[in-house]
Amino acid sequence: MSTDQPDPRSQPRGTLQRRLFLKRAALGIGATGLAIAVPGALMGEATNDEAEAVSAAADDLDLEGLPPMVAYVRDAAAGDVVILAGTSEVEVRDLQLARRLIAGMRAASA
Amino acid sequence: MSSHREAPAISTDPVADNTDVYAFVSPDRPDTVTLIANFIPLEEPAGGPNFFRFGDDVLYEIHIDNDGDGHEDVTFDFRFTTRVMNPATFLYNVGPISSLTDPNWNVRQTYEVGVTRDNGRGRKPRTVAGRNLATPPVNIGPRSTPDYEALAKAAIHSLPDGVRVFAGQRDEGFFVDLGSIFDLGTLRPVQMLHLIPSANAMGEDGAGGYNVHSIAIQVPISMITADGKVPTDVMAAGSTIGVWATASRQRVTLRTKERGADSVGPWVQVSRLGNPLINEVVIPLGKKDDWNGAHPSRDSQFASHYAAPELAALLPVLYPGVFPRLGALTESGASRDDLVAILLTGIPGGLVDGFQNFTGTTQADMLRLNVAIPPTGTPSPLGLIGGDAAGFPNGRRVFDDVVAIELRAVAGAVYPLIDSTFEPDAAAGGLADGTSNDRPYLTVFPYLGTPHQGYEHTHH
Repeated sequence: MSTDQPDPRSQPRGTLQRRLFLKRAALGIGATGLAIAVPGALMGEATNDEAEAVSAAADDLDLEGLPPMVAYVRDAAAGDVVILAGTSEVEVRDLQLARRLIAGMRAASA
Repeated sequence: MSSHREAPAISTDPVADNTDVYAFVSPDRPDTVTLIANFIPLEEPAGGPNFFRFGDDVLYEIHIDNDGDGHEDVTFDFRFTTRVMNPATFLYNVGPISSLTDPNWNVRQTYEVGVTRDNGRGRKPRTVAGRNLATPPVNIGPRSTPDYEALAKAAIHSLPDGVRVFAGQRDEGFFVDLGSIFDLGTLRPVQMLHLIPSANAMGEDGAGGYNVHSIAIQVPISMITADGKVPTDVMAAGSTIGVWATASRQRVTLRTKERGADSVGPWVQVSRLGNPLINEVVIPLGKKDDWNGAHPSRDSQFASHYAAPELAALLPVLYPGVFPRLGALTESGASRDDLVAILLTGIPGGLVDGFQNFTGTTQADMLRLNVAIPPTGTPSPLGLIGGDAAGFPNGRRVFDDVVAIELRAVAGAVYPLIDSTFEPDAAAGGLADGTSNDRPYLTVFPYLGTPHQGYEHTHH
């Protein structure tokens, strides 16, 4: 019993503050693959520096072969969006993102 | 049954359905404890062409609490991977399987074992104890698996630190008259006394002829006690461990043309089992799914059902005149603190001479095993109420008759432990469904019997 491995049940949970989420995404840390959810959708309320950092991080991402990532709107009125990737889960509060997802879905299915 | 299809949600998800948990000091290696968690209820042996196997998308875990707080201090996790050697055939095997590497065996499953420890500082580093461990094939029949015992034996793996592990098909070792008990609480041996009477008869093992998938791990006692020692004082607080098992699935499954099924998100507990029959007959329908998803440390929320079990109120109604004292006890509204102690906190010292498996005041549904009690050469399937302190509810051995033990306990047979003035009904001490297992158990690891073959088997 020698090889250290992540606990399969350990994963970030709960609501992630917008700033922290953006910073983690920009720095490429946190949950696997989360950064690819950030650009565009989340940048509306970020500071310019944060937005630029996220954009730069997003531009450098290798998107080939990534496993699926799921985002679902848990509470549209509050703008609560849950993002799932690997065994991780984060929740962001972003009314604009929720609105865009819902509007996009309605437009696509109209 | 013990915990087979016991809750609405898990009844539709058999590969994650934890049916039984066993924990006992190994009779042939008394410096070790054997922990077994079974899954896939009522597994039909003739299950081809896609025979039963563990879920590759399920996280299986066996947990141990060694300080009485209802939280896991040591967890063994098991993750499975299936490989199809030749996807161009519909066959599970294309000839006799004579070894775990036989090219005739087409659908194989291996697994990884991890160990997670609470180091007391809030961190739980996980170590891999074994990788690419082979499971045996299922027992198909005399042409496909002519020497099944040899295949199963080859699938017992020795890991570092004296750990042994097995995962694969075994005989369903739990026995119960399923057909009668869920026909309005009928017990065939005494059904002449039932509210709707018929002639007394022998019990029939409703689980007979079926198999199950078992995860069995044998670990040195010193690996799982709080102080890393082997307790010898039965009455010492650190002598008792709590054991339960869980199965978890990731929160979301995506089905796409490109990738098939992908699971995403954190693990969500969908099945749980500590003491047998609890979610089956103690927890009401409206709370069963919640119970399966709950952590034992929060079981005080369910304590009212242990303290006033529905079955205790039903017995005097279903068997008129047979349980007058139980009926009076139930009508009095007295809390069944005997059952609460046995199932949620352990039995404190002073109630049974020379015995205790009390883990403290935290109410948590766990199998409590006092590891300082050595195995006996003359075990009683009635465990503690049969005068054998090495059996249920001190842990649980594969042959313990937990149906009879819990029937008697619910009927008031052990209520005098907390109220010496209470005299149980005469029938309480002899209640049983009249069943026993249909196959012999093994005397060595993994202890559950050889699974039934698909080619020839019977269910009653």
